[in-house]
Amino acid sequence: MSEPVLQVRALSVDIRGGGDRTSAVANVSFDVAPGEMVCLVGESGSGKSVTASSVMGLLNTANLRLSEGSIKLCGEELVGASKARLRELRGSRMAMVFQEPMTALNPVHRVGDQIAEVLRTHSRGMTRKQIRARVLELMRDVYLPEPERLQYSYPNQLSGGQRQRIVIAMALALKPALIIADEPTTALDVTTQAQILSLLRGLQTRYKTGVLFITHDLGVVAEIADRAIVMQSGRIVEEGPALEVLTRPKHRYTRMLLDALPVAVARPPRFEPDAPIVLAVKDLTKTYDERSLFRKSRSTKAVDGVSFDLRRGEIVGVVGESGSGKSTLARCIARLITVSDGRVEASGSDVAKLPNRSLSGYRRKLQMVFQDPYRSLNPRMTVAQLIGEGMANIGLSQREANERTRRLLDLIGLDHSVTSRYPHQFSGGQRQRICIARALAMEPEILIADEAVSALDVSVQAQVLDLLEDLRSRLNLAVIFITHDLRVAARICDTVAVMHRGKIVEYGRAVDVFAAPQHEYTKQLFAAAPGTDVLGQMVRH
Amino acid sequence: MLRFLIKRLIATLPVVVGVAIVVFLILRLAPGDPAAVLAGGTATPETVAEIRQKLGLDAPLLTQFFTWAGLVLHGNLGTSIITHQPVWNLILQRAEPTLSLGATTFVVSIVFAVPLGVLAAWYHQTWVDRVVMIISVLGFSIPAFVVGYLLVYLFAIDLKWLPVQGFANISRGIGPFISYITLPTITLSLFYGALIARITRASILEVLGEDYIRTARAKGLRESTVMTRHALRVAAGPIISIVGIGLAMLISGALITESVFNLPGLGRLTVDAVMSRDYPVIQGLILVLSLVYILINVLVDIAYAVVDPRIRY
Repeated sequence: MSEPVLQVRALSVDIRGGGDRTSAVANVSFDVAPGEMVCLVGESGSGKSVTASSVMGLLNTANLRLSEGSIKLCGEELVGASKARLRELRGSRMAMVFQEPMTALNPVHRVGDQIAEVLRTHSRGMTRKQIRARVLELMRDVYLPEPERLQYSYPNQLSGGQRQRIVIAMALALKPALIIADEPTTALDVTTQAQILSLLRGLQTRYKTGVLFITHDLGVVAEIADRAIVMQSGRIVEEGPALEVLTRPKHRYTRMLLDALPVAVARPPRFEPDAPIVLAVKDLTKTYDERSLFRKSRSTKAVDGVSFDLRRGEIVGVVGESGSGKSTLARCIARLITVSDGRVEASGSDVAKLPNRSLSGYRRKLQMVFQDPYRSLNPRMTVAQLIGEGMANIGLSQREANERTRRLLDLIGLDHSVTSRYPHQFSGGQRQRICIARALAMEPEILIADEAVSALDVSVQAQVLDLLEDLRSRLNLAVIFITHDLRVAARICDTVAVMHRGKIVEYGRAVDVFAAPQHEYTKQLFAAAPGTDVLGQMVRH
Repeated sequence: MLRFLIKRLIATLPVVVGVAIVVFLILRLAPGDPAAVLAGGTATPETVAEIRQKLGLDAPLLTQFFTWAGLVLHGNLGTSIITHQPVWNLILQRAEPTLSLGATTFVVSIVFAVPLGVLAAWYHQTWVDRVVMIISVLGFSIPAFVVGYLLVYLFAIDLKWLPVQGFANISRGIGPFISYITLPTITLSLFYGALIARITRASILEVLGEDYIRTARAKGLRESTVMTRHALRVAAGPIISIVGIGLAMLISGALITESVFNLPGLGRLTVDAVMSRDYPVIQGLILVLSLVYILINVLVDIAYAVVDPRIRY
């Protein structure tokens, strides 16, 4: 084998003034060979991003310190190299692709200029004309449509997938020996993710680039990795050819990750088919008008004639990509926004037409859990206040509220002593449990979970899904579960509604939809889910 | 863009009308009588009444207002009660020193304060940052008249490098102009620049945490390029808005500074007019200054769109 492009030996990164953990990365060693795709897998806090930043020389030195080890790029030692040399290497010999294409590009510069900047910085000899030509060539390489026109666009005029292509073009500009891709597809829709993954794979083979691909998603690993390195709490726990790691995991942490992974095979419904209907949505439509004084107004249908019934104890999954209207639908049903047309029937009345001031009764019956547990809890309120606020609103006494809060904490599996603590003292999974307790405090009939597990690590995701499942059967809750993740939907839903451009394109029992999708779009969506083949095989084993 | 500008300008009309009404009423409701000032201390009540009638100040308020408003609509700000010169001419005569001082302060503040703010953010929490912040706290909190007199004492009286007070038209040559305008400019810039430096530092610090700054560093750009082309460009929005808001304070600051350095500018004109209850002059001045202020705000809006392509009107 030829010399590795990246050689990391005994790398340790300390956390300055670290509390329960003093090192972010401890004694990590691995290689990346030319033309090899190595996946660094782990949950949040496993040290995978810190490892990547160390290689790039971009560690946040305010709280992290590279204490030991050696990092060699094509044989050249990077630890202790001068800032100027590192700067020369960044962008030219090693490049990076980031997670958030929405924020990774500077909003005030044209995308073409942002690619050109790499060339201008690192290759002095190029003329303006040559740079211009190379930018267009790169944009064609990443399959961007109409590069001549697109190069003059600003990032906000492009879609997430297009932006990620720009970032990749930027990384490829000088044909670096090593590309570090830090969760490059996590923020993208599955179909876009599939395109970007195959793009990266293709370019990497063509340019013989070594790629260090960081991800939390074992599906992605199955899809593209040559080799997989599993990290937990700053250490490497397992390493080997990707297929082997996925199909014959040796370490129990790897096995746990694989077990926690929801499998895209649905189970039969677990609710009474003739249970009473608690919510009936009929031809629900939400139109956004763009009013203008001088032009003809335009209107967009975010939700277009959606109908479905929700029975007591049923979990309906609303599945779709970003922009499909699934969140708008949830917000319409919860009446957080006004409904343009159609009916939302709950306990005999049409909620869609109710004025805001008459909604308090409905609000008690329907509660929501949102995506980001880090932002949906007020940081200045204690757990007791967060859970108790709604109860005080509907006139429960302090004693009754405290009583119910304790019962809820039992239900979600948190200790009674946490009531005086603040959200920042909890982990993501715990926070989402608190959000669920807050929602349940009103003793609702219906719970809407809007991407409630999307921001969580798989192992935590599994716990929260189990909790929801458990609550459904114990409290006979009806749940509308909104998600972009098919595997999550398969795991928890009885019924599935697939949304595309504001419409439900497919609706049916989860087992049927997952076993034999009818609509073309659903088929596409399923095909795009990363690692379906490998992981599907695994299940059968 | 053009449509936006037209809309913006139309929207300013009610503001101007409002300003005119408020100014007119406040003057009339405030104590003090221009007729009495004109007639002098020894005049009899009859003389004062006669003067008042001659000036039209005995008419009902509404009549007085519409008379004045009618004149203003024809571009005529009226005539000074005291000097009998047209208000417009008075303003034009006194505009140069104030405009000069405003322009030099504006340029000097931005040229020094923005780079200092960038440096403070770049070397966040080092001595560079602290020195810049100390200077800006001092600049912001020491009143202009204290700074002004200290500067005069040091550079004019003690070192004799610069004249104590007064103003030289730019037509008298660039040398004299600069020697006269330097101290007032420093006095005023200290205050205005302090504001800009602080906001520059704060908004750059905020931008530095963004993902695209990490991208810029990952491209291997020099830190100076990261700070200017990537951070400052994005941070320019808040800076521009504080520059615009600060201009209002600059106008009031110019008033004090002109008094300290005895500049024959609009500030002095305002003070004199207020002292002698010269209603038409005060009204005209405030109306013109508020128009200038509105115009600056429109310019600020345009500047936003220039620096940030996400903003399109």
